[in-house]
Amino acid sequence: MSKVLIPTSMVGNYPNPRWWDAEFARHFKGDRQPPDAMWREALEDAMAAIVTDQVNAGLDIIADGRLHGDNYADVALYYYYSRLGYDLSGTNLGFPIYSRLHSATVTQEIKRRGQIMVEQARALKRATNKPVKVQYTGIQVLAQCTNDLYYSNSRDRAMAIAAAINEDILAVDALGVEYIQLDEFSVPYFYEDWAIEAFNRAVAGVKNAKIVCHICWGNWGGTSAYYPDGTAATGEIFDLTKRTKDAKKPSPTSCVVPKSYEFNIDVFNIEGIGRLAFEESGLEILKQHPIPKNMMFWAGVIDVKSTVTETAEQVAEKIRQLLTVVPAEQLGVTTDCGLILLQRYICQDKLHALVEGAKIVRKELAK
Amino acid sequence: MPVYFIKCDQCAHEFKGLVLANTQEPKEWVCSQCGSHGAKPVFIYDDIHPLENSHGAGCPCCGGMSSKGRSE
Repeated sequence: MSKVLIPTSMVGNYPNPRWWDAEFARHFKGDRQPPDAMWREALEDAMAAIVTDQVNAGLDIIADGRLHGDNYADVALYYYYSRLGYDLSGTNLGFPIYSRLHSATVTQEIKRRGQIMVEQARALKRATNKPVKVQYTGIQVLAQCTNDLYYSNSRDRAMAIAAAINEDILAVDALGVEYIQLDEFSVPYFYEDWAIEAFNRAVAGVKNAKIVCHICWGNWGGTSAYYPDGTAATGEIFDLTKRTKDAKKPSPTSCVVPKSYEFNIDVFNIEGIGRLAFEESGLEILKQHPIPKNMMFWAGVIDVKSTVTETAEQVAEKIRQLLTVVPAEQLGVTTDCGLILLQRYICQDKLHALVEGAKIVRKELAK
Repeated sequence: MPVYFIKCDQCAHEFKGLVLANTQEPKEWVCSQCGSHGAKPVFIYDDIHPLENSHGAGCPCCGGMSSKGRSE
């Protein structure tokens, strides 16, 4: 585990090496390959490249970059569905900002039908001696985006997905990874009745790794894409062109705090103040509902949608703002979400800024 | 993107469930509080996104006529 004060790490999808995307990412299945297989060599080389960018920047925890697809939708949804036995046909989801993604159809029992994140975890561990983080799409997201022709109810479907993902998580945990993350990016809309139970089922039995729950406000095309006004009803797909001129900006943290404390997690990680100003983030609610003492809180301080690299001092200032609502010993800092929409050379600078900003604050705290 | 507002007739627990556009509606709703399979939707919010009508222009079943009908 990272023993550093205010540890730094990146979240989600990182831009893959382009040679990997041009061929391998399009057909990667997650199966184990023999040592002389080109697939294995390619996976290890691509992972090493992603790791090198993070190590050079100086991050404390090294993430997998979710390199198993060449596009966000495959990485977040369809790769998992293909390993769980789904038919990848379906129609548009109609879900805010993800609406152009399509569902996948389940016509048989959901089971783990092959490794999901194990080979990526193995390649990640091989590439660095630093603590590592392996990232999964969350159970609620996978369950909601299903066109279900097999289960009679959403709860049974979600628990079946959780059991299948748990099998893979336990295999990854056995490799000795330090952090395992689930991305539950649909909970800001609301928590399904089974959301907490399904999440906790997915991470049951983990012995070594710390469990991270990442929540963001959407990273497919832009944040914050879904920005209605105060007249929007719960569940409504608001016509964004009708938003009133001076509509109050959303205050996202209050959607997920304190309910998310019910997850069996060691680290609660949310898209924080990389893009949103502190005043707009709703993080003040942490004064009313403090992070539990047995939990770390990691927040984003790097804008993953802007091509402008933050200065170290800008990052430091954001961390100082976070310290007004979270004790230093419980705080970590990350990118808001995945950097995949940016050029890789820009990402390298942004990771460097994250590290240098944290160094400034650590020095201040040491005085 | 319909959000179903559901109430359990056994224990009165109220919860929400998401059924995304064009996906199969669940045959039943299960209450996580008491385990009853008898929970029922009491309200469904089912307005569609203006750009995501499945019967839009070029629709093989109606050529978009039903979408025009809805908006008028």
